[in-house]
Amino acid sequence: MTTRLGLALNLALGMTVVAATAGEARAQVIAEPAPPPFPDPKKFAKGPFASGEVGALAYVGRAGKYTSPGVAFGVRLGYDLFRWLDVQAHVLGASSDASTPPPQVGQSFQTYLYAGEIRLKLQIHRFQLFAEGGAALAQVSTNVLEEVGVTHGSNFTFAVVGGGGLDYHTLNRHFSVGLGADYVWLASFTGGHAISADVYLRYTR
Amino acid sequence: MRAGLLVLALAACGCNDPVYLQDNGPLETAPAQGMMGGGFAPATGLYVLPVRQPTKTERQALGQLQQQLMLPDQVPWAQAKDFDIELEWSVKNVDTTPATVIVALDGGNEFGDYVPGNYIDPNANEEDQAPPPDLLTSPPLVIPPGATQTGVFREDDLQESALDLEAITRFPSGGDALATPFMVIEHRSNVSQIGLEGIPPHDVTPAHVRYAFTVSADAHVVMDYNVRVRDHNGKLAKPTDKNLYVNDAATVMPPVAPPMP
Repeated sequence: MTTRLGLALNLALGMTVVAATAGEARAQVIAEPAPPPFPDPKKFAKGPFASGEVGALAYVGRAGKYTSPGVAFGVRLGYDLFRWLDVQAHVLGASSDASTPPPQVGQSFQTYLYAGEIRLKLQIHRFQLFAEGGAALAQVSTNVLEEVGVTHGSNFTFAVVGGGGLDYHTLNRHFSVGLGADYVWLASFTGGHAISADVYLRYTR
Repeated sequence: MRAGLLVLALAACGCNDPVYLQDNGPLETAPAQGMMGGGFAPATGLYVLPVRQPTKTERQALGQLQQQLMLPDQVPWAQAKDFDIELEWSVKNVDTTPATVIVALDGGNEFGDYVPGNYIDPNANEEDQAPPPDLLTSPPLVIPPGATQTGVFREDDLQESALDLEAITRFPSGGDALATPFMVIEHRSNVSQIGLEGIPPHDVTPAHVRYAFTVSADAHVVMDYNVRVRDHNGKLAKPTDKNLYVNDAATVMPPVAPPMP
């Protein structure tokens, strides 16, 4: 009788110990949880954003005949109105070499673009395809292209910008990087066409 | 971000951007008339920088500056520090034989011109009666038939020629108008002040604004040029503007001229 009671007590004690020990083991953190393979785009930051870009601008057509491609820097400031639509202000500056006939050799000039744009977006997980376009005021810094008949008395012109690209969102909800390319039509410059391509880093608040 | 925007804004304001002014037409050497054995006469041409007239207030300020600096002569309106000027030129040999070419630049400031031929000392021995050098010259260029060669008179060259002109046209060294060109043109002012002793302290140097080109060649050549100007104080006008400041006569007599023979 005493033996049976002892066995029952021992069994109860053992089960209690096992149960208690097993509970403690489940509570231990043994590894960081793996990040989700595709962050939820709904959790990406949205609202005001700023992006900085670096790339190149190349004139094509008649203007391209007398200029070389040059390095370009730009800034965009904007706002995500919806998940699929942004409005943005875009300032771009590029430095190019002029290849005009003698005696005007070895000269360079800068191109500035002050644009208002909209961006249409299609989000696919971490990737985003976008198309953008707008109107701009374009300026060349000198009249170096006047002798070859590209500019005509004014260094300013109305311009139209259109292009697109690919955006890749980082695991940080605020940052994304991307590639973009734009076509620029310079209305009052003869043969005034240009293409810009850039990489950018974007911060959304 | 703010710094980047500031840099872009400064770049966009175009404070220091040059303006390119086209020439008045190419200079072309032509066969010399009545020269023994042929040869080609030098081609010459004058370009006058389009400088706007000063306003009434600006004229008064110039007068006040003259008094303030205690200068004996008028303060120039077109000052050397107002402009950085570069002259770019090209010479094409349109002949069938190689050409040896020299491009020379003289001209003047708003007060008067330097014409080397006027500075020959009539009292010197005949073999010493040589004109002083041109303000700026290219080295002799040998250009094959059909080829084009380019060159430039740089901004620092034009600043130096402006200083040389000031000594020659207004403040000759020791009052010796004939000797001063020989002294100042042969020396760079950053190395030697020879010939510049007559310029008063605190003087305001007038800009070299009249460009008299001479192209000498032993063949038929055509020279084109243009004027690249960085206008620091908004004094440059359009070439088509009327009533410009700098005299565009063929020659302007300087205040201190060499004695006539």
